[in-house]
Amino acid sequence: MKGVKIGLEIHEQLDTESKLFCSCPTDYRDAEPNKSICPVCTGQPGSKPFGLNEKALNAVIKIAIALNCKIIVGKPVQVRRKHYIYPDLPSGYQRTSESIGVEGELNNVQIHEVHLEEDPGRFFLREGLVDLNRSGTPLIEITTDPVFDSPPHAREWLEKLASILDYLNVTKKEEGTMRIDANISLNNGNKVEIKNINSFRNVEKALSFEITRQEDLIRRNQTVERETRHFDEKMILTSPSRKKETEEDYRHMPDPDIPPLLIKKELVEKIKKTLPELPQSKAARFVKLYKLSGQNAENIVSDPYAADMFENVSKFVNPILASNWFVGQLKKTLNYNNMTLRGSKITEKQLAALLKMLEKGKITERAAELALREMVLRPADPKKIIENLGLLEFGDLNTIIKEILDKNEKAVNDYKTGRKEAFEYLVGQVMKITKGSADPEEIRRLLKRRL
Amino acid sequence: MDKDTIKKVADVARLNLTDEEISDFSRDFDGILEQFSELHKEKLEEFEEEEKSAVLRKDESVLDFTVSEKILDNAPDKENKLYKVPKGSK
Amino acid sequence: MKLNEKVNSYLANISKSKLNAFISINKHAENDAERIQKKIDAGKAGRLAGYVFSIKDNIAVSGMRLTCASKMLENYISPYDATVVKRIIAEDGLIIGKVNMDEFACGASGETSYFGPTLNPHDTGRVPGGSSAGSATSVAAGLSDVSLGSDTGGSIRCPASFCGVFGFKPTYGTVSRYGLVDMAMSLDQIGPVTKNVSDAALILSVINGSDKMDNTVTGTQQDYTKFVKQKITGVKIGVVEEFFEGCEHAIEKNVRDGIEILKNEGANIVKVSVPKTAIAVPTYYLNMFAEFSSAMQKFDGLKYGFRKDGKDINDTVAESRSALGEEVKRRILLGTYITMKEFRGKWYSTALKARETIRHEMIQALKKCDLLIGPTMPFTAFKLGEKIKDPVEMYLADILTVSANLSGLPAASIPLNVSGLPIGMQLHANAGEEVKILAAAAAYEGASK
Repeated sequence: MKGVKIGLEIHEQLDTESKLFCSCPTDYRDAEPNKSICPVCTGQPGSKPFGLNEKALNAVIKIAIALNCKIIVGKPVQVRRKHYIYPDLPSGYQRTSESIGVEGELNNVQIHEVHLEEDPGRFFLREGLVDLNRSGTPLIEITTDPVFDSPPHAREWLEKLASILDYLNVTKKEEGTMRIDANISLNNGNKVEIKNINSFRNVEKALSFEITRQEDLIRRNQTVERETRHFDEKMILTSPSRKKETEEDYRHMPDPDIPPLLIKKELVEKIKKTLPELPQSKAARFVKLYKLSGQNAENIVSDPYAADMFENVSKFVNPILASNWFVGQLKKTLNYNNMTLRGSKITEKQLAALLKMLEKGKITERAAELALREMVLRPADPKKIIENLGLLEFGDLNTIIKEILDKNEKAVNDYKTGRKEAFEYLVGQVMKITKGSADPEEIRRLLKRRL
Repeated sequence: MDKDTIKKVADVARLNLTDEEISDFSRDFDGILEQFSELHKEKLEEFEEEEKSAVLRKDESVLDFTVSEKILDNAPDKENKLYKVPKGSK
Repeated sequence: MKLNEKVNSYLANISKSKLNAFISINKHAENDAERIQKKIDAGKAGRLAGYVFSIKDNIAVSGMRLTCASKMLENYISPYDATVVKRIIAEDGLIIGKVNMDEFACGASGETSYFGPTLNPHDTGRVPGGSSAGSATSVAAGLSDVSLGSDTGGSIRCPASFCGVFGFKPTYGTVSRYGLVDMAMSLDQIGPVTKNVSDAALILSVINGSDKMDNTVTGTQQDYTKFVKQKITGVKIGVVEEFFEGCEHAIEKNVRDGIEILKNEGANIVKVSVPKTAIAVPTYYLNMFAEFSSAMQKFDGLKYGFRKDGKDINDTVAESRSALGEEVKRRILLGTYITMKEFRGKWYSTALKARETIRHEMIQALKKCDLLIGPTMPFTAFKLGEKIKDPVEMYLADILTVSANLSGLPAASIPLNVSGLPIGMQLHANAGEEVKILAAAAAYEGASK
């Protein structure tokens, strides 16, 4: 696709106890509607913003540093009012800071700027109902330059960004807190903005639809309008927004209730020291230290929780074996169950014990796989799981095969004289003893070697 | 200020004006802005900004205002603890 | 007199009064009086015990209406207390009711209220001044002991001057604005309206000081009461000649007489100049319009306030906002206009620069002396209806009061001892030096009796 230019605007909630300008709790998800509200975040007449939540500001600085931004130091950063009237915005303006970090870069994608703002409430537009619990929750907004050349490129990069945010541990962990606006132009034509997309997969889908739509217009010599569109998840298409947002005049104005922020150099240095090892350098270290393949290393570090667990498991078993399981069976099993590693509650001790048994040849790969499937759903000591499932204790598969061969001299001879069904009989015998826990493929492989 | 400008400004300000209001304001605004144009004749110097910076809130403790009910009591219309407003379109 | 008897007599007077000073009466006033009287009898009462307050109806008192004298908020019940109200109640001050004002503080006469104009107790054919019209009227007419008003461009000092009471606007950032409905956030301050200087000093001592609910207030709480009796020997008072330009003759004469009294009390009188007074009105109004238009965005008829349904969201908002009065709409429109992309360079940016110029000039003048002095208003209370049809004429009434707000400085209007319509003399001081104003005002008060 030539001439495709995509830029992204990412909004993510910051992990604070209280809202940006008031002391209401931010865990509105569990609250009944309009319960985590006060005069400030509902714009009651006479209310004023409290002091800006320091933890939220520090979180933005931390993210901006990790995205290699220049932090605006020693120069007043104003909190401004962006005016528009909409049911989810109780004051008729949204408070949004000027840039806190600029000119960043992540995986060859230039980051234009990073700032802090407050989340509006929730407007259920089909029903015409408003819940202001979310109103005033601190958000970070990250804006990239229009440098993505394809929808998959944008999605892959978003996954990288999500992984970094995961590492920094200053954003909300709940699903669906991230919202993305994507802008796209073809051959330097008019820019179309797609607002409020809620997943990376949908970013890719929405952008792909947009490219097809715009290409089609261009082919028919029609102009692509500069406009804002919405992505319809169910129909997998974008449609023009009825709000004329591109024409809206937000009349930005410094908020007179909030003196400007002054970020000190010392604060930036202090926050820099709290940065964890980020995925890129962690992957490089895994390759060097544990001799993992680059692919396995990258795969494991994308989840900081997995990376930590991998390192701890590797203290007990061969790291390469461990890494193969992390990116292979473990991931497959979790995905199948629609779970995350953290969500599974499986412990590193359990995982290490399981892999240790495999490494020592006490169980077959097949048994380990079956045990893992159980362990993901109901974490427990792998020995017990294996016992309960009856996957042990047949000992080493080689020993069993030797015994079977010794006992079935006739079948061995039949096989050697060319009777194929004799081989299947021997496989069946081994299966019988191992109660189906051994991998039939492995049995075949070992049998062939011996015969 | 012509009537079209007034209409445009009223649209941004979300005010529905009657025709009478539009012509009244149009006349008023000419007088007011003409009076205020004095400012453009003045020589205004640039001054260094006052050094002031925000006091950040370190205390993250969550206050229970227990005013949510009273806040909701002022709603012109509500349904199951939600504000009821006109339906929207994307 | 016991507090409950006093409250009862106030309540009776209020119900008989034709001045239209009150919008709401505190239904619990009698109970409150009894409770506080018990504390007084037990010797356990706070510093404001015995004081009966009226509160301007743009300051939130929990459980009472907060109308801002607008149809928009006619039925709005405040869910919370303003910080100043909390502090007054904590010191056993009693709130008797909420008082009338210009709608959303838009006016210098008290005439733009949705509930009708407030009348001047000295002459009911005349305006009491605005926007804290009910504050000054209720104190002057003996319908409350003291009052809290708000001052954005003179809204405490103008009615104090027209009604012959003491009105004080503190340094910006001295008193918490939490609970004060915004007019122009960078200019608004709450202050006392009283019959004498020491009451104002006491109230100020209770309501000032940092509040985590208002970012712009940072200082620790001060006690101003002890400064009221301070001598003013050697205090340098600068007479601002520009403040007398265009003043009515009687005003100039009486204010100069007042200055003479201060001189006799030991003050050192000098002449100073603040030439940029000439552009104070446009500078003030443009800054205020811009901030006011932003502050008024929240009145959309969706969460609270007047609602009139239209064909969609935007139309419902616009129809609901028709509940706003003419002057309020005028200011929203002008404030929107001057901050729109096409026009802000010409208007808003210039206004911000002009504000800095004025602030700089006021501070320079106050480097040469301790206090600046002049009249509060260029004229005495005008007739009802006299200026209401001409906005420019009305705006120009603020010429002498707006510089204090634009500069964030403290200023007070002191009632002069005159016969006929009241006249106010205005004092300005450096930021944080309210004590100098209080001492000089008290000196005048003592000497003029």
